Amino acid sequence: MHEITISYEDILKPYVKDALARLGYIFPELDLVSSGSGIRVRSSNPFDELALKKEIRYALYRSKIRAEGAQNRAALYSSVFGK
Amino acid sequence: MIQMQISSEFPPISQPMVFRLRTIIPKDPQELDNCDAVLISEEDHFSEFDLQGFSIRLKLENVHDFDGDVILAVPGRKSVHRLVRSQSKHNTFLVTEQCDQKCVMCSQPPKKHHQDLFDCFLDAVRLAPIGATIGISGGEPMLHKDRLFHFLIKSQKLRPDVRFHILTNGQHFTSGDQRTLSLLDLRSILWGIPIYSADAEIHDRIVAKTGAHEVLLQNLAFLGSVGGLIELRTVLLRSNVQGLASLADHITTFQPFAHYWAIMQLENIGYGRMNWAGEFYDNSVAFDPIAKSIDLATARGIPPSLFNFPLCTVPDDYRPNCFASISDWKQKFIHECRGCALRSTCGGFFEWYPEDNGFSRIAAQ
Amino acid sequence: MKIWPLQFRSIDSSHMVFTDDTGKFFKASTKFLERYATENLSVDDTIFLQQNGHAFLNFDDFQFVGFASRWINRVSPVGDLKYVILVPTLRCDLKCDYCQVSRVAKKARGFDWSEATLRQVISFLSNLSPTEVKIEFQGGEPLLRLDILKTIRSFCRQRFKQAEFVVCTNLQEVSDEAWEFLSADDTQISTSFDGTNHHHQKRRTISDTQQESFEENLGLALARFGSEKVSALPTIDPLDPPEPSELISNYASKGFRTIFLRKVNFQGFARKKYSFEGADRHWEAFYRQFIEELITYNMTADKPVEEFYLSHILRRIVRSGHHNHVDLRNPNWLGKDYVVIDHDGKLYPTDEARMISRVGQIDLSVGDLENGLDAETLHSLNSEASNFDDPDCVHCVYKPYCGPDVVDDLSRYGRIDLPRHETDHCQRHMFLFDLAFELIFSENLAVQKSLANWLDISEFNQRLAPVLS
Repeated sequence: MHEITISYEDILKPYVKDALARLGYIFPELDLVSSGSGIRVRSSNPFDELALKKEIRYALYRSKIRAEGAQNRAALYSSVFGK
Repeated sequence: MIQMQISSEFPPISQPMVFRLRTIIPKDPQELDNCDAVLISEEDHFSEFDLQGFSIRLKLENVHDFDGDVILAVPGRKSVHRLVRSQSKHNTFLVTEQCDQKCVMCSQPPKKHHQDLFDCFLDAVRLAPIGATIGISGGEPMLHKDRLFHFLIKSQKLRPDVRFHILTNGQHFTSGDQRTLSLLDLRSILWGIPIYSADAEIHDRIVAKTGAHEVLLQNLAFLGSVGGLIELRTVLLRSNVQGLASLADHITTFQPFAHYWAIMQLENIGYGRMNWAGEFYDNSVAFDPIAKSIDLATARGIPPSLFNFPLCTVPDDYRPNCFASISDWKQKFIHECRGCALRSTCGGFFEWYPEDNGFSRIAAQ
Repeated sequence: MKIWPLQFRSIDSSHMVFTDDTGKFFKASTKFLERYATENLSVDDTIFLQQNGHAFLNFDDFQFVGFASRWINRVSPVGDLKYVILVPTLRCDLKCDYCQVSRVAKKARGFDWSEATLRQVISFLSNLSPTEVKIEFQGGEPLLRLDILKTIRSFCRQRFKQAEFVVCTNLQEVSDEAWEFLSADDTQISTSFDGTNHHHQKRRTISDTQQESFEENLGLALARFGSEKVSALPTIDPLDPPEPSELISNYASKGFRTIFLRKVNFQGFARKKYSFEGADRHWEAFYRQFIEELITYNMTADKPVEEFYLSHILRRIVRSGHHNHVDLRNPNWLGKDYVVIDHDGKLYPTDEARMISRVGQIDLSVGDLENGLDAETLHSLNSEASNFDDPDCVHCVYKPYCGPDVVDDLSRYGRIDLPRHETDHCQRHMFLFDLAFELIFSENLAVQKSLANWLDISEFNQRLAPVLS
């Protein structure tokens, strides 16, 4: 069993759940869980740690950007399609 | 030059009025309007018309060239003004000579006095040829916004086929205009609005009004979002030429709703003449900043038109952007144009273009 | 300052491309991503984001309205039906190796429009509301039914203010009467030419006599009408492609300025015949090599040449409001602005839909001439017409330029809910968009020269490739 825990800044904490849902679907072969201030990755096969770290970070960023953009997008839609 | 002012002998009037010249009497008398002046006789260069029993004598070169024209007469003036030429695409109503900006290139420097001619303009619209486009200009027409909107609403009711091209500095829209604008058929009104730079400081300096740029951007956004057709107009100057590519970037980013962008050469008249030495940019020797702006805006989907650029001053690749924009009544061709193969598609020069102090490279093609 | 959400993707080890929902893009270092995502933007960052249209201060300020306007321009509007593809016959005088359309033999019976069908087509056309129309005659080989083509064309000319016609023909046998028909100003010719005579003969004409007759007819068409009126597409087998330089020079020497490379389609008879193991990798390698050769060719060419689909993609990246190609737009409305009428009077949303249905895999017809368009079927197809809310696409940096292809997904997988990145459509387009951005951010002058031509401008401009440094 291969295992690492990838840490993230506090600012990203609210987006972990969303990011994990997405990562689980992109990497069905990995077992991903939130643990303390990190994301624990387990797999029966070896994986590229560096690349995975990056993917996980990017997934957190994407979730954060999407969540934070929601209000702007809502304003955009209401300005375009009417209130 | 095409005759715009006409010497006349006219019964005394107390109000400005318009009438239409009819040199060919329609078979069906129903086609005659109350404002039609019908040709009675031609003698000694003077043509006599009958308007509701009054005689009007006009000094005309060839009377039949004037059939269908709409004429404006103002009390106290000896000559009358040819307001709508039925055979021309360039008919403009000068709404006012007042203006709140004082642009360095202004061809029609502002005056304080204002005479309201909107009632006459409404008659003129009614009498205009089918499908005419009427230019509305100034001064700043929107200084008399209530009267202007009222005129437009009535005009569109009377003549839904007539299109308007309104030249305004875009300073006077407010969000409260939304309701009024919704009463208009905005598809047949083109708003020609100048923007000189993406840099607020440079724009404000060119129009001599602090804060103008900020108001302009906000109002363009307003007009764009209510669905107004917008033609952005940029007069090429030495003070904005280096920022022209930035302006192209700005327009395609923030005014993507603009339907047209016209880049215009300077006209040597009014303040434009006063500031010619400092502001005329000779594109015949250095076209690059314009080329870059055209390339950028075209790639982004707003291909600019070049107004008032003689074809020979523009490199081949960009000639398709040129538009023969100089109105026939103020257009000329110069000595160098003799034998030029492009003359029929070229806009030529303004009547007041200074041949000894203009483009350095003019050559028959 | 509020920043519009940015999507991102690595383009090399230290740089990324960023896009907003309007397709405004820029290149920046991966460090910018850290600053952006962790809310540590520098002053320069914020100035750049504002100037490039990615930010605003207040709802309804000019930056907001500019963004909204660019966004609206990205949405392809639902247009009136004014483009109709007609299949008057399924019969064909060729039996191409990879026939895209499932044809039948020239002498087969029962694969042409009947008199009644023709009448129904005319009545269908007469009920269209626009004043202009574009008719594309497909087949089979439509010239086998010149009589029908004539009837339809005369009808459209009198019914519509403006009518254009395209005849998609193999140019195999063209009678005097057919030449006469094709010579009209409102009629275009579209044909196939697989890039080299060798490839064309191998896959299509087979015999020397047939090949000679095709070459002669293509030559005649170009000599008589020029390349403004005649277009050709090469179908490419990724496992046996022509030499790109040879393909380009063969097309260019005939006066063609546009080459639309078509990978042999995973449909029709082709599906039965070929194994496609690894074909995608071969295709990508070929495509890339082709574009490189094209750029080299254009460096010195008087008349530069484009690959149609790459140009379409580049234009969609650089400008909004570019919806004129139905293969890639968003939303990709089906059965709205164009429709296919098959040889048996059935209606299809696309030509691909017709082909898949013909192989019997799935029925994608959306009605027939008898009963008109089937609103219910169309509604369900169009429920997935856009990528706006697709859970994968929402995070994709190329979302503003892309668009879904429901028919392709259905044809390959029988379903439309696959993870995007597992679909052929997504993979193919990721490759193309990556390539497009590689070109846009290239500093190579030869690349920029081609780019300028493909974007319809005289010179490429650095401002078209904004970089946040």
